[in-house]
Amino acid sequence: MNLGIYVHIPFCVSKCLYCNFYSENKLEYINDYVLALTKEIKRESKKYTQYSIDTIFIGGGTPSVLPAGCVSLIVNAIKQNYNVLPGAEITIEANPNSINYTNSAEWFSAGVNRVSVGVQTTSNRVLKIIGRTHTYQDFFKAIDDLKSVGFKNINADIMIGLPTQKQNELKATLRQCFGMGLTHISAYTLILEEGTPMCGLVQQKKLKLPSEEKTLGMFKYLLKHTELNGYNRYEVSNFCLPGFECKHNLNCWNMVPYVGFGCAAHSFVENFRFGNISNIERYIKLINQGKSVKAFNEELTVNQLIEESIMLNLRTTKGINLKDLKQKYGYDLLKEKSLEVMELQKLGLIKLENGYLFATTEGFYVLNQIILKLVD
Amino acid sequence: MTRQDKIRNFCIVAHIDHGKSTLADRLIEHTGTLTKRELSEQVLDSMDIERERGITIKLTPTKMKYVYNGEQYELNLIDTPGHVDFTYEVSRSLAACEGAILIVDATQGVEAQTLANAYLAIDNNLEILPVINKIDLPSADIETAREEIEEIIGIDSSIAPAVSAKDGTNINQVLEQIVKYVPAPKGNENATLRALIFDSYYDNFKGAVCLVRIFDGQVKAGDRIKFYITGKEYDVTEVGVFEPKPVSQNVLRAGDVGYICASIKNVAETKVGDTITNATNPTLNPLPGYKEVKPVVFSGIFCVDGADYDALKDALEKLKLNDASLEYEPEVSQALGFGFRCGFLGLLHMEIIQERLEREFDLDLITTAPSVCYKVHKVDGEVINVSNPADLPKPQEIEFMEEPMTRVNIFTPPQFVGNLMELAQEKRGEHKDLQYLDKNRCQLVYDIPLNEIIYDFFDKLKSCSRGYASLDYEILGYKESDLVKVDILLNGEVCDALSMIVHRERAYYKSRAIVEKLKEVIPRQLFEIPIQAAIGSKVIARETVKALRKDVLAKCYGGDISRKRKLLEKQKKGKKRMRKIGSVEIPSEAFMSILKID
Repeated sequence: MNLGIYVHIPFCVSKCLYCNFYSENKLEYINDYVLALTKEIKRESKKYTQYSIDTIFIGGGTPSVLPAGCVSLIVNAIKQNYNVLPGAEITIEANPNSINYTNSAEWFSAGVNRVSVGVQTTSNRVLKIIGRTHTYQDFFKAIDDLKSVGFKNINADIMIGLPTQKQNELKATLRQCFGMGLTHISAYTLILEEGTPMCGLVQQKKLKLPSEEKTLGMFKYLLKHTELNGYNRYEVSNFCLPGFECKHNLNCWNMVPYVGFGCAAHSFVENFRFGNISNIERYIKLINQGKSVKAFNEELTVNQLIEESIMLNLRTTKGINLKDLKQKYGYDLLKEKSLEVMELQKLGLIKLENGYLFATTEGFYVLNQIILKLVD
Repeated sequence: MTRQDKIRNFCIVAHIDHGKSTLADRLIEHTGTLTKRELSEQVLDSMDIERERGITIKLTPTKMKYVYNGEQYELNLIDTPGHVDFTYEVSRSLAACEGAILIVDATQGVEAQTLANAYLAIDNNLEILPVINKIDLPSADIETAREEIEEIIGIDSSIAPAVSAKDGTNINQVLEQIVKYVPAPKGNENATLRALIFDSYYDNFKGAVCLVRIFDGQVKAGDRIKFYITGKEYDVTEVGVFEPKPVSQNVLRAGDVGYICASIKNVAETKVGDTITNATNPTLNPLPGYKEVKPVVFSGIFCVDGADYDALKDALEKLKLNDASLEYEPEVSQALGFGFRCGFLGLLHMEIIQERLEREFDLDLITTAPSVCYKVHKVDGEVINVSNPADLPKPQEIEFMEEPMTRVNIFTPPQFVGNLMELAQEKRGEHKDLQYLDKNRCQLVYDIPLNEIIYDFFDKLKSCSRGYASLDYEILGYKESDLVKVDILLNGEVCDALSMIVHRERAYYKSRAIVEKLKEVIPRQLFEIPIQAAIGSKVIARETVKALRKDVLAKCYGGDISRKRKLLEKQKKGKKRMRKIGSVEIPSEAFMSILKID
């Protein structure tokens, strides 16, 4: 059976104004953290001997802030203790201003074969507003470096609906991504999370978000132009050239098991969802004492598994495999939710084809509502 | 001195917040009936809600012993509810007394309910003993209060003790004055029994317990008694007095205040104002003043979660045990499912019942807009009472309609007269009188339809007079009126729970306000939702809830699906509180939000 591995690097040099994920700027802990991480990777390996590793994802935080040698250490720890399949997808997340020729070369030689670059936008004006520390010049240089050491599969994370963002700025960002021949684009619309500095600024009217109309307009532009340039939308926010889907994320949407290592990393194995604590110092201490770092561990009920399958599968353009759902959990979605399915079909938000139920382009805009209708 | 010469039956009346319950507490404490410790703040107000609002609803009589000039007197205090909703109950309590203490707040002077209560007491031939309270406050103005008592109420203020019920100053003077000025009862102990029921409550072991004042004759356990109005007969199982806990006695005689138990199953059989007499030799002269109490305000009560229907039913049954004035019958609404149409004595009564249902029975309720009872004269000559807009016959079947009117007395400092007249006008009020009682006070009298008062009249009154104006009202009777039923349509379907009966002239304005409010509270859904207000088939107001354009969960970092699921569960919970009208989902709060619309 296949298993994905997720490794969390909870360090950021500075926090973006919209982010509410766990990361710290206590860079002095990096070395101890990486050592603890490799210990966790090693000690947990006994539990996963029957699995083959087909994807590894080093995410963050900002993995690219790791000093030289760290990424090799982590990847090697995994390779030595797990059955990593040849050709496994190994991704690292990176920020444009912490990518350079040296670390790119190290990653590549360690076996990393996919880099996800968090550029967000190529407008320096907007980058400054949202608290990013890089510029678009950094981005160009980063992509250059990555390519020159041999990386072919590169993703750019971009955002839509950023404060004061204009459509022509998105246009430029996309044109530059296309121009550099990136294989993958992840495009997220900004969601104001409560408690983030940006949320406060917007509430105090110090920052203005584009209207819903404008944001939608930009998203439509993105849909049109990714398609024109040969990118397929395979997930609600993910676009790629043929054959460059991110396997790791697809597996996640398809309920394939994965195990997470590091602070605040989450896992899904054999119907259990569990996660590690979100405190770097304690994580290091506990690992060194040989103690558990789990913050929670919950077994999903059949109902929860059904709900998660619907919620996660619907994110992909392929949608829900109805036969699969029935075989795995004995749940006949079309029968249980016949009225809702009919209503959503009538509204043109979902379609049924070849045993799959999937959201239409229109449906993807309101995916949450569709999920809510289908899960009770 | 005869036995009755040493009895004083009195009550305390006051405007709300003038310190009625506090004074009662001090009297109980000073006569040694209860110690301060036993007297947990306000013994007479036992229900939480009453205590929080500082108002009394249930009446609890208390027997106190007081020695004056070497003689021991028995003082029976009958507490009265302080709100216009319960005017009839107040009047029956007053009828059980010979005297009334009228509290006037030294900082506020005479207010609307002070006067209304004073008149009620005078109507019941009570001797009135004014008491000036709150003299401990720096803003107390005892002399002005005395002047107002003389000028506005027209009673001698020289006998009025100036007290602080809060700190106990001069409480003894009050007790003395009660003995001196309240007349002793003058019943005939040997005549046939005549006892006035002024309240009742339900006891799990004894059944309905009647609170009575014996006017003539006597009653003891084993007697066969008859209720004059209901005609029902019972065997007395126990008689007693309140000290303030019930203490059983051998006999109650003319002049006494106490209770009678007679294995009565239901408080509804013990009608306030009814006369209890001997079954063998019944009186031919029942005590005067009995009235059938009828609810005047009606509202639908439903559960947010339809599964709670049985719990709601049980809860109403339990409340009804102790509250004969609460009426309810099952109601089915397309929008809200199964629930009850409830009748209340007034707005406060309605609020109290709703709050008790939510608090004591832990129910999550949706209540529909309060309505009054209309008389509908149909073309075929039939006259029907309609208190639920859903029951209104079709327009072509209606000849004309009548609505209940109230006489509203407003007391206010002169500078707010303009605002208040405007408010009364706005509420379709008909000006009756304006009097300048003294330099600080005016009395405004308006006739206003009850259905204009039951929403937010009181709040408005307070806000347009900076809290100074006070209000009292009584039901006058019915008057022909040009009323129409306004339906609210959501996506083309009538939502029955939102229908209302309003005056034609107010229909447009009100409809506008409601559709605007609904637009705010109905969340955007997958399709556009027109909200329309219509009289018959004519749409008079319209708003649109635009279709939802964008609702996608955010990126998920590190495979954190639990977080996504929690979000989903939260949304699911929110959906459970939604009601479906056709394909439109409406949050329960939407039904409540329009209650706040004027």
